[in-house]
Amino acid sequence: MDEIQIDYQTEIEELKKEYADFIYIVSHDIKAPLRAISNLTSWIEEDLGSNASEDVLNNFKLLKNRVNRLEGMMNALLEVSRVNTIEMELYEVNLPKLVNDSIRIIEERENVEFHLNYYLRNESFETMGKKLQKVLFNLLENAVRFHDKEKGNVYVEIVEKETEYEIKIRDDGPGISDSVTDKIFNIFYTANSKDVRETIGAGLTISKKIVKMVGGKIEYFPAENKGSIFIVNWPKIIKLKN
Amino acid sequence: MIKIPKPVNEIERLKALESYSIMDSLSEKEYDSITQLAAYICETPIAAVSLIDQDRQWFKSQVGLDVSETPRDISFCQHTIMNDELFEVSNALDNEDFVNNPLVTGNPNIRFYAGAPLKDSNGYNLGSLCVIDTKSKTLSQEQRKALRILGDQVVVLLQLRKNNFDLRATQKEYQNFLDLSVDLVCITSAIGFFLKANPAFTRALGYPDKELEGKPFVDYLHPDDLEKTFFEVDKLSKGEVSISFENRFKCKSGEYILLSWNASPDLETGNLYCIARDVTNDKQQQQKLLDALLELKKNNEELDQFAYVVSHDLKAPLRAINNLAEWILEDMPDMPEEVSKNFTRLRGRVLRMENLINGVLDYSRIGRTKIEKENVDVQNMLKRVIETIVPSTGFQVHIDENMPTIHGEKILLHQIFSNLISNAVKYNDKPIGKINCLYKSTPKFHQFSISDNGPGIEPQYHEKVFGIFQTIEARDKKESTGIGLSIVKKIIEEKGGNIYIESEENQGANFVFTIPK
Repeated sequence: MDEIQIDYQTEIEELKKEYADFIYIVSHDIKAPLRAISNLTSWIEEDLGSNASEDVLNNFKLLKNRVNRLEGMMNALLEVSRVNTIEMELYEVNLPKLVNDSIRIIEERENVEFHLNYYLRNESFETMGKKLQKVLFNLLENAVRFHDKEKGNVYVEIVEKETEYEIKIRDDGPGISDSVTDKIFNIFYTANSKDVRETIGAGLTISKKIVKMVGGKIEYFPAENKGSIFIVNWPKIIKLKN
Repeated sequence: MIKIPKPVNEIERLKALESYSIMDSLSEKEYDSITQLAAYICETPIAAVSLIDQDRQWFKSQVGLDVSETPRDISFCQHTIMNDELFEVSNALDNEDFVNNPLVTGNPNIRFYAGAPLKDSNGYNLGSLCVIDTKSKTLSQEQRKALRILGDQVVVLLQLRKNNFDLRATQKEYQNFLDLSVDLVCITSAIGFFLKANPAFTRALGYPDKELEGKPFVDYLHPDDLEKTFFEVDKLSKGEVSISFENRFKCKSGEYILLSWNASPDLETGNLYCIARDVTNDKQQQQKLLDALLELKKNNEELDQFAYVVSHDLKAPLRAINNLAEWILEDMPDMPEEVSKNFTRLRGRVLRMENLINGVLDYSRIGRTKIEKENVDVQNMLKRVIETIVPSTGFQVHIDENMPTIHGEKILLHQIFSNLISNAVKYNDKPIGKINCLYKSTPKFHQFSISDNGPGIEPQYHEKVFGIFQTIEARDKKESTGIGLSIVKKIIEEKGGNIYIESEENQGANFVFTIPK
């Protein structure tokens, strides 16, 4: 039995390596022609100037947009591939401060009200701060970015449990239709057409990969009266799962 | 000269004596009663149970003596054990063996001695029950008989002692067996109370010694396992000789461990004799294996899914770029040459990127789709591949006559051959490119080889060429995505075959691969 187990383990390791190689290679090899595309586009833009018909300029604007989008996607792929290799430092973070840091960046751009509730014995604990920050930021940004009201509300609740922090982020936005809830963590998946909202669709993918790596859990629940709830269970002690 | 008599079986006799573990033991009133009775019956002031050791006689019991032992060589009893008869000396002063004996000439001034040998069941004379007087005398017939009977009683006592010792040793052995066992052993009463639990049992569960004894078995069972356990135990009442089952047992810590039980009843008392083993870890191992399998499956699917989604999603904006560039070119026929050149280059890069992405798609599709198997005539397939891929001039192609018909997935086989042959065409650097398709049948495999007379591949690249996106020459020199060979390798390995290269630089390349029959 042990031997079989080792076989499976090796196979899993190989697969994981293949997976990592795959992303790395995709994001690097495909990046080379993409960089050329990007360069050529800006040369054309310079040469073209405004000496063209409106149609051409419009089309060129669209072309540029697609080039940017492709670059965004490639960068997201790179980021996914690096989730478990960079910014792994453990240091002490203060949870309310971490939330406030994200909110400060987001608030400048959007009209939302944040409601914060903390049930914490220890506000601070040692963890992979950069990773937790990333997850918090992605979720808060999603909650804000997709809200469809003039003024949105975002509720953040963090409860300290015995072995983990339960982070609940709820919004009163449009929510996610039942038919696609199982896709939202897929890379490049966006609930709306990318033309409606220019997003890459990697935030949740990256967040999930991070949470999985630290041995936690991230789940989506529909909120009552529309809106979304994301609950993250972030362990106090990180047991790395590659 | 004093004679020191030794029985002929002296060595065995000493061993027998030792087996009673009696020498230097504390006094016991059972023996003392006998010596007192002997002195009383024989009307002597002194009586003793004397055991003859190698160099001494030692008194297990005595009356009228103030020593516990004397040297053997001056003892009267050493003479008693030489015979199975009662040994009697009426007057030591008349007996040349004893007249100079210090026990006669000095304290206790023995004149009379009578000893009954203590003969055990194996016939060894261990010592004697003796009576001694400081005056000479003779025992009556009744007294002699009584002394012998009392002597036999001493032997009975000795035998009892020995039995006791043996019993205790056996018990100790069993106790050790239980105490030292790493298996969990317990005895429960017919109505389910712990009677005994060995240390391994209490240790495994974390309870202090004896805490379990007297407690009901069911108190420690996982609630969900009660029914199962009752069901199993019930089988015993239906006549099964032993039962084996598993249940979860509560530890002192509140945690449960999984125990695998074997239990048999004692038909007389109804007590259950149970042996258990902690199989929590085994179960966990098993679970781990299952988890590993599941994870493997999931990872496999994930990788393919991921590859598909990534490539698919990347293609959409790429196609848009291409279309937009085309429209712009159409809308601006008078575009400065500089700009239109850049647009052409742009579309060239878009095409390359799309090729790369298609390659990734193909790569992931192999693992994802289930393709129907059919009979594939390799000879025909090769002919068709060559017709479509190999230019009609500048190449010589040979196909072995003995190509087999294989039951397999036609598309995959096609992909293998077309990739390998198109590589041979693509990298050809000779005026006449030569391509050979050879076949060999081995007991378990079909072995194919596709060789060419092109530039060949240096040995250091033989592994590398199968990596995804690996091309040896710069991409601008030969437009190649480098995905082809990695797909070939993936297909072949997924079918259980193998592929390798036989090639030196400038000697052409020979790709050899096998497919299981």
